[in-house]
Amino acid sequence: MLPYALLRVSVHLEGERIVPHYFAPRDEPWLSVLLDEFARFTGRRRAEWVERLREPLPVRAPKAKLRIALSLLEPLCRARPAAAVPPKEARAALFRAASASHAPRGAVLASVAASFAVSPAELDRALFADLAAEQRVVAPPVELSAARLARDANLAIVVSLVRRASHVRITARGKERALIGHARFVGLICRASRLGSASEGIVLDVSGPFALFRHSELYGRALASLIPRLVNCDEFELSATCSLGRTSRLSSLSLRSGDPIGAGEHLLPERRLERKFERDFRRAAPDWELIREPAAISFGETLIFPDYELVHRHQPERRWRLEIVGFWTAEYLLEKLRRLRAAGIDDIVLCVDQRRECAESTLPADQRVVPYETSIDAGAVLAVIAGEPRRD
Amino acid sequence: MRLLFDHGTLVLAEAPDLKAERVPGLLWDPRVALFRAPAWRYSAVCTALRNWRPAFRDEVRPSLLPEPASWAAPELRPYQRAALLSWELSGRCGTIVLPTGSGKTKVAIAAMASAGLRALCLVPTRALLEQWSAELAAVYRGPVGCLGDGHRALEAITVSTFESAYRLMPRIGARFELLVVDEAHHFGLGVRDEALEMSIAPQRLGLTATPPSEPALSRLAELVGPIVYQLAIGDLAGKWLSDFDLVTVQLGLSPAERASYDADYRIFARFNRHFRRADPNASWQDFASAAAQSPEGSAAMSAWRRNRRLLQFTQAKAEAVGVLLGRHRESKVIVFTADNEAAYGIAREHLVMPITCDISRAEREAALNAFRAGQLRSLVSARVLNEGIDVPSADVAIIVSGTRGEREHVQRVGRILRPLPGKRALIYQLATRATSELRRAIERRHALAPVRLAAR
Repeated sequence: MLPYALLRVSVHLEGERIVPHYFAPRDEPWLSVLLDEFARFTGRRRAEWVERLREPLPVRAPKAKLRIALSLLEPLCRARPAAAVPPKEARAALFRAASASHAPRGAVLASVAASFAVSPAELDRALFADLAAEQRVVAPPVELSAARLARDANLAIVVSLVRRASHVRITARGKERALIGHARFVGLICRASRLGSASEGIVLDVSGPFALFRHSELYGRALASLIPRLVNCDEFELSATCSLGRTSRLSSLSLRSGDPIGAGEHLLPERRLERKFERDFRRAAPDWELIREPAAISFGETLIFPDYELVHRHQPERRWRLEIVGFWTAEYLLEKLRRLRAAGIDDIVLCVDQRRECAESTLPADQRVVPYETSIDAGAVLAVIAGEPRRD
Repeated sequence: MRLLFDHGTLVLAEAPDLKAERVPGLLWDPRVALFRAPAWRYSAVCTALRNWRPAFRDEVRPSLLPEPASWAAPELRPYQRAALLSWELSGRCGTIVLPTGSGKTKVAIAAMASAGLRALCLVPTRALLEQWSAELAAVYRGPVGCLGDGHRALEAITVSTFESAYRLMPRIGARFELLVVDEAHHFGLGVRDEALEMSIAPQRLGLTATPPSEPALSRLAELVGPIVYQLAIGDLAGKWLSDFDLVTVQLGLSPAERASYDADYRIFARFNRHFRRADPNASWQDFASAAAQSPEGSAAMSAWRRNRRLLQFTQAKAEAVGVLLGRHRESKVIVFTADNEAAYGIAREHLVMPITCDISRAEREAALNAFRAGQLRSLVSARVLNEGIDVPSADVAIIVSGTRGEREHVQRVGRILRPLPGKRALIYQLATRATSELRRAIERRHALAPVRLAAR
């Protein structure tokens, strides 16, 4: 997330349209120089690197873009140096000794150093060795090329812009499921409709509940968290209305596949919940095949996106869908079950995170609702789909 | 007709013939085909609905936590009782302004005990989370909930960091009837206001030593309540707070520093003069925006920053700190700097324990305990000790520099005014002659005056 001042100089407006100043191939030469310079400081103090940055690079680098690139490199200055004495212990001993003594600094330092069996200079160096300024610069990962840094910087610009949006409209094709699941998970209102045939993709209108009144930073963050998932779709288009200034004036942002944005691979850790469920279910139900992200089900004017389809290996007509529900209320679940039944969709299991309820309410007593807390009980899901009595 | 809580908002279901203008804050939400209002309008929405359809079903309140347990109400000083009474007479919606060390937390606890409602206390830091939890646990007979710093326990009386409340309010916003907002000056114009907007709590109490200025003050009045009671350090010093002497020490610059300062000042002044001629009433933000548009402006801002940095810790200040620490070797001293770099410089040179954001909370706690016990005679801090931490009694403060104006000054001075028999606190304010710093140091003194004088 870029600070407002930096974001503001990373875009310009053409009428109401936001034009991001994307990093382009012409930026790669100075980014390469920056990476080389950064690598040259490997093992040195972070404070030295910060001091170095007060002077310009040997090649001309646009100021705002340089600051963005540096913000991406910043997390790499993380290694802690070795210290002869654990810094916390050094501080506790030295400052207490100084308070108890009227001796000059050198004498106090020497006496405390002797108690640790180190030299005064080693003790002095250890004193703040664990603090930010003393951290050491780590060599950039080998895969971090100038081109990759440019793409990641563009992703940072886009994420920061969408964070200032109240509503986004997305057209996506291929891998759009992760997007929908995530929108649901972070509490956004997400209306999905099909764009012509199934192969043409879907249209999503996504906004936070508060969007009706004003831009909310909380739901802006939630919208921005969609972007790394969006850029992983095969094809996409996004339009957003963003409040770019400190006023309520809105500007529009457009984004499409092919724009020079990083794929955000490092931002997409697989959710532990799904990983564990898949592993547990395969173990517990060897007769059932687990298919991730099956086709959407038409449901009135909108679509339902199950997270899994469960198909019996020997009786393929036995099929169930499983949806992991994000935020919920009892009313919401009852209404959803009622509408599913009315639409003739009975073969669906709703896994409901008990910690994410919006109101203090009791789960509807329905066989198809499987509550969970930290992990989904594969046995409970199997009991529902196999028609066995539930153990709980 | 049913009123429900939904992710920091209220939704009105089964209200086919409702006209939105009848209910304040209510809008039609075409995304879900329901009426919706922000949660903080709960009281007004209920009142309007009750007038229109007395039989509407309020399904927001059943989502609250169990009833709170009983309290051992704390004993209050006269001014604390007056503050509490003012808040109660203002419909239990208001902000109380009392100086640091005057017992704001005690007033809040008395307010919670008197209201007997489910209450959520919002505090800015993890250190305060612990402090509030401990103070509440001493007088509240039920379990105290905690949100933040790795804890996630909701109880009828819960303390939360601003950050946790901000993240969780869409889910817990319907569970509390009273919001207590410590250090309320952090609200009014920022992102965190969303936490207050997403809560239904009809009763709200703000606490601060330094209320914000407009327009944040009006926004705070809207979301928490207007100022209902206000006292300054000058009102309480001598009886409820320790009396004090404030000494402004005027220092010079070394020849090299003076040359650098004057050269940079000229660069800044040239652009500033030019800008002010065109727009005499422009704000500092306007100036900074204009400066970013031209190379001369950028150079002026860089020069201004260099000078500010220079004045924060000059050679003379470094020497003065040494002299003053030596002079008050037998006292408990807190040194305040503008940034961590200066704090570490002083820590290393004079062997004074630093309390900064880089030092872990456990280590900070250990250091504060050692200071309390007399094992450490002095501490140096940039901003961490400005507010929120219950600093043990100290009798000398050395303010090397600050960047945050009157508010910071009041907070820092308040740190050493905890009353003790016979105590007279001493505050040194270091300022550099023939610079803008000296003028600001003199201006800041007014912020400590009694409320009526300060207003004048």
